[in-house]
Amino acid sequence: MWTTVVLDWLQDFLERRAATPIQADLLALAVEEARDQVANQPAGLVAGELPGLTYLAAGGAGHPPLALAGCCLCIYLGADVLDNVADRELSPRWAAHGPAQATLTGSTLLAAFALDALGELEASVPVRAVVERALAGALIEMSAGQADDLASEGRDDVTLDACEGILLGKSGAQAAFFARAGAIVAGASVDVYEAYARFGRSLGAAGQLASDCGDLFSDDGEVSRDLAAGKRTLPIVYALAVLPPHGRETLLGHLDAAPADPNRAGAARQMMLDAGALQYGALRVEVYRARALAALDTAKPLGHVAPTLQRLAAATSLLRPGASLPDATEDTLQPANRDGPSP
Amino acid sequence: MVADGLSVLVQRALTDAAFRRRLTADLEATLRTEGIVLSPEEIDAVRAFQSEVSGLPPDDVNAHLAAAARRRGAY
Repeated sequence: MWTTVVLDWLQDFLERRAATPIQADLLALAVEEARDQVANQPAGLVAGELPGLTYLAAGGAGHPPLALAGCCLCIYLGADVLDNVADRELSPRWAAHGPAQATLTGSTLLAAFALDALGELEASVPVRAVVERALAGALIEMSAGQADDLASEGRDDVTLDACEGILLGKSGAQAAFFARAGAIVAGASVDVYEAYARFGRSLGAAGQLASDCGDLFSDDGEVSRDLAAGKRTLPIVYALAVLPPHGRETLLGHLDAAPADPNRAGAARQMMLDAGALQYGALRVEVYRARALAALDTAKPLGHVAPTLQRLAAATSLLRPGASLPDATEDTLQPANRDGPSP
Repeated sequence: MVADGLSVLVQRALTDAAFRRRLTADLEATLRTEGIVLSPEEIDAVRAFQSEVSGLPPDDVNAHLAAAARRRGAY
């Protein structure tokens, strides 16, 4: 799997560049987390795949650059660790180190190793400078989105617009960078790499919203992590927006009690289902999916990569699940299938 | 709290069977009559929703979507 190839590269890179054995051990934990995620899902990580796909789609020659994919994985892993610290959801493997070391590791991945990985990229100085500026912009936007997200916890006055802003600021900005960076390194024009950035932004928002719907409404019997953490994701904010005052107060009571009481979390889930929150979420995912496809039309990806990028967007849909994403992505990223692009 | 056009449509379609039937018969005319403003992408999303799941009973619609949403992996 391509993501595994990128993770192997990243593991080697981090071992080489870590300044002390303790730092190397902490970074290895973050890579282990990613390997667990890959083992538990059919598709690879978008962070590892998207820059390679847009690189090829924009006409990049030869193999997709591993250093760029490694940079994007540093961003993904760093943001994931910091998100888990903020949500008090660190995995047991961090227990011996604690949230302070996890925060330091996440920050160092985001602020230092992502940039350091770009140093191994075979690209001209001007191209590298554009990617670095795009990286800085993405980190600023992701940080702002996270700040807004933390500020929204437990509040009952978060608007749908504000909630979408958080979605686009966190997941959207991250995936926008992954897509934009691949096209920049391929030598695309500003118009084209910005179209790929719009593709990535909408793809990231669609994927995160579908994931939020899964967390709240999946029928696997597990308690929602977002409800347990007091999060106000878009389906929750929708329900609060449309329920009449009495229903809204009841839902707020359930939401406030949900972190400590699984029965109240279940009651909140049912109220939101009855109010159409899952249907609203599915429709919003479709809107982001449509925006991603419209951006792709503008970007005009090369013929052999276009179907894979389209399937990546299609795979977010809750209305038409089941796109064969893993094989399609692997086929595109495998060297044997990268010859003979057609317009 | 401010609700957007799409949220108004979803909530109304859940609670008003006549509105739901009119939406199915003529989506854009119903939106105009009711003063619900949707973007072209939102209208396309509603059409996709109608073609995929709106013929199902409400509980089955949620079951269909919940199964699709089941614990998605890391994004």
